[in-house]
Amino acid sequence: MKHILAIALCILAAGCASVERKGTIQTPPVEYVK
Amino acid sequence: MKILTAAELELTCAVAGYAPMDVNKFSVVDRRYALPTRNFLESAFSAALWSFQSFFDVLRWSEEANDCDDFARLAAAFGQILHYLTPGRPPATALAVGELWYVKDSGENHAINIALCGPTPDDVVCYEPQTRRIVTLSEQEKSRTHTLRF
Repeated sequence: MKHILAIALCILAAGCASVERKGTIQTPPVEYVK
Repeated sequence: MKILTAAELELTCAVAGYAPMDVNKFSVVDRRYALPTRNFLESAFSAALWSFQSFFDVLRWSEEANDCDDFARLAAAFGQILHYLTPGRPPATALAVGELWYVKDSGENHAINIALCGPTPDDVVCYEPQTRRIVTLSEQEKSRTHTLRF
């Protein structure tokens, strides 16, 4: 019974999870006009 | 480092041909602006913007939900984030990357980005955030600018 409950919770959690993000965001420094 | 005041930025855009008929549609809300180089926009910024759009899965156009004004808003905000994070950035400045709404020669409304990559009208550039490239507007398109926001 515990296993069934655990599986059900996992399925529920997966369904509620946020969208998977892809990669990383680059944050280069700005090059300014001198 | 070259800094423009809000008045200088507004005047430079106007002389370059980007002048909304309704002055209330020209919003320059910060007092001082630092200028990004054209090379930065074309290289590091474009690559980083792609990574940002990709991370949030907003690379694809979607009617109303993720269309031109959303691309332009995100690109301008992302530029401001990079400016804020840049070590040694000029203090108390915003970045001279804004949003531009206009009517295309085809008659469609469109939104892109506008940036000042120098202090003269020739340094005003337009940037298409959907392709991450600098674009050129016709003189007629410039004259049909209806909203500018920095």
